[in-house]
Amino acid sequence: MISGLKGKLSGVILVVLIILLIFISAASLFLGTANIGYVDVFRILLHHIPGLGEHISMDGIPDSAVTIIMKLRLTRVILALLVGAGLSAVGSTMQCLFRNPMAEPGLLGISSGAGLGATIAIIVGANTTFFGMGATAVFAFFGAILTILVVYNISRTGSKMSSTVLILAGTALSFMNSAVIQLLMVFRRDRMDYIMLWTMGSFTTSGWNKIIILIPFLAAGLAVLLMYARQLNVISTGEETAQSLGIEVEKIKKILLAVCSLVTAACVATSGIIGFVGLIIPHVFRLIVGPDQRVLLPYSIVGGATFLVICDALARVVAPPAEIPVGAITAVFGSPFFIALLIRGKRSVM
Amino acid sequence: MERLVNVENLDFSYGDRKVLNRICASFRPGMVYGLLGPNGSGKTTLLKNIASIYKPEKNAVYINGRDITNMTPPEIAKKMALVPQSTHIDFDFTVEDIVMMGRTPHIKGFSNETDEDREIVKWALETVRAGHLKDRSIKSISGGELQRVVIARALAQKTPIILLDEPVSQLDIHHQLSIMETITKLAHEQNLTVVTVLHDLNLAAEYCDIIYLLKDGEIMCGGSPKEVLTYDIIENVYDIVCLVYENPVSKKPHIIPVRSR
Repeated sequence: MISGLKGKLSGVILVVLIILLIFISAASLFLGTANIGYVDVFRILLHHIPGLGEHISMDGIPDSAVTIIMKLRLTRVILALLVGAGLSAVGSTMQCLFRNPMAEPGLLGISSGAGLGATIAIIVGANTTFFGMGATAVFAFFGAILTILVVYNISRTGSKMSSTVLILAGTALSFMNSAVIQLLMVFRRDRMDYIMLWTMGSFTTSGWNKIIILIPFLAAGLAVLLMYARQLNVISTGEETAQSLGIEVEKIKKILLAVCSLVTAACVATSGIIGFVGLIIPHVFRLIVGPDQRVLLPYSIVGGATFLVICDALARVVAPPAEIPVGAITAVFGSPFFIALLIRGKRSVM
Repeated sequence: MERLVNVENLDFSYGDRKVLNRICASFRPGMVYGLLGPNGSGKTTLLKNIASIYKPEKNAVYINGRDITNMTPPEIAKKMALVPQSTHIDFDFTVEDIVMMGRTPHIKGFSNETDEDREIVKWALETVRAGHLKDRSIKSISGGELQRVVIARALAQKTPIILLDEPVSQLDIHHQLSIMETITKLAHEQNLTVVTVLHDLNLAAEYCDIIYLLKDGEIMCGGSPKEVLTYDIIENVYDIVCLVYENPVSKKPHIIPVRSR
C-alpha cells in the first residue's frame, strides 16, 4: 500500500462505509437491557419520520419502549456517532499539523481542561442550565477553551507559534489539570464517583439537547478541516517548504488549531474524556488509504463514528445491567486490533 | 540585461545578533550564482531572506523591481522555488504526490489539480531523470533520489527563480556532479535564475557563473570563479593555507586545502 486510494475508488469505498455506519447504528438500537423486538424498533423509528409516520401503526407498543428507543438509545447512538467523527477528524488533523504520531485531541491539554471544568461544576454542585446544557458541560467547555488559550499564549512569540512549545506547554498543563482534579477528588470524596465517571467518558446522559448543540460545532468545524486538507498535506511535509510554496503557514495553523480546540471542547463537554479514538483511528486509516488528508480525513470521520457506535453498543451489553465506561471499551477492544494491524503491516505508522 | 532579483542594503538580525550587514547583490536570468562562505557567514540567512522564509526588511529585496514585502505568499511562490538543505518527510506520500505539491501556488483556492498540473509534474520528474520513481513511496527512495524529487518539486512550481540551500552536501560524488549538471543545464537552457548556497569551493568553481563570497554577514567579493577563488581571498575568508591550480579540463580554478591557520 504505497499509493493509497485515489479518485473514484476511494469515493465508492467511502460510500460503502457510510452505508455500513448507518446499518451498524440502526442495529445497535436493538441492543440494551430492555428487550424490545426488532420489528417494534423499526416501527417506532419509522413512526417518527415526518410524512411517513402516520402510516405506521403503533398498536401494541408500550410507551416505555418508545421512550427507550427515541429518548435513550437513539440519542446515545447519534451522540456516539458525532463524537467519534469529531475526535477522529481532530486527531487526523493534529497528527498532520504537528507531524507527530502521538498527536490527538487531548494533546494540548484540551481534554484535561474540560475535565477540570466538569470537576469544579460537580463539586460546587452547579445545576443551572444554559441553552439546555447542564452546568457540567458548560463548565467543561470553558475549561477546555481556557486551557488552550493559556497554552497558545505560552507558545506564541510575536505572530508565530512554536509547535514544540505548544506540545510541551499542553502536556504540562494536562498534568497540572489532572493533579488539580485528583486533589479536588480527595477533598470531596463524596463526589468522587461522579467525577470518575465523567472523566472516563460516557454517553449515558445523552439527549437531543446535546446533539443539537454539538451538530453546528461539528458541521462547521469538519467543513473547515476538509477545506484546508490540501494545504495541510503540504504543511505536513515541512513548514518552511509549505511557506516557500506560498502557503500562509502561521495563519492556517491558527485556524486549524482554533477549529480543533472548539470541536474537541464540544465533544468532551457533551460526553466526557474518551481517549483512543482520536489517536488510533486516523493511524488505522492512514495505514489503509495513505496519508493524503483529502482522502484520509473523510475516512477518519466515518471510521471514528463507526468505531464509537460499536464501542458504545458493547459498553451497554458486555456486562448488563452494569455499564462499562465507553473510554475503557475503546482502549480494550481497539488496542489489540491496532497492534495486529501494526504487526501485519510492519511498516511505519507515519 | 534584466536584473530579476535585486538585494539592496539588506540588514538582518536574529534578536540582537546582526547576521547580515548591508548586503548588496543582483541576480540575472540564465546564470548560476553561488553563495559561499564559512559557517555562520550568513549565506543561508541571505538565501532565506530572498526566499521570504525570514521576513526581510522593507526596500531591501526586489523581484522584477517589486519590493518583496509588498507581495503575497502565493505571488512570491510563483516567482521563486526553494530547495531546502535537507528534506525529511514523515508521511508515506508517493513521489508524484510530493512533486504535485510544487503546483500549490498555481492551484486556486480549495480546488484540486488539473490534467495540466499532472503534465507539468511528469515533465519535472523526467527533467531530473526520476520519472521511474513516480509511484514509489517518498520514504523508500535513496538520499540522492529524494534530492532529485525535491528539485523536481521546485521545477513543477514553474518559477523563473530557483533557490537552493546546499543541495548536494549530503550526497555522494556521483550525485553531486549529476545534480549540479542538471541545475546548471536548466539555468542555461530555460533561462532560469539559480542561486545556490554551496560549501564545496571546487563544485562552486566548476558550476557557478558568479560567486558571492560572504564573511561575517558581509559580501567580501563577487565575480566569476577565476576572480573570486584566488589564494589571497580564500586565505583571508577561510583562514586556511591552500593551493590554487587550474583544472586542466575545465580551466576553472581548483583549490587544494593544505592546513588551517
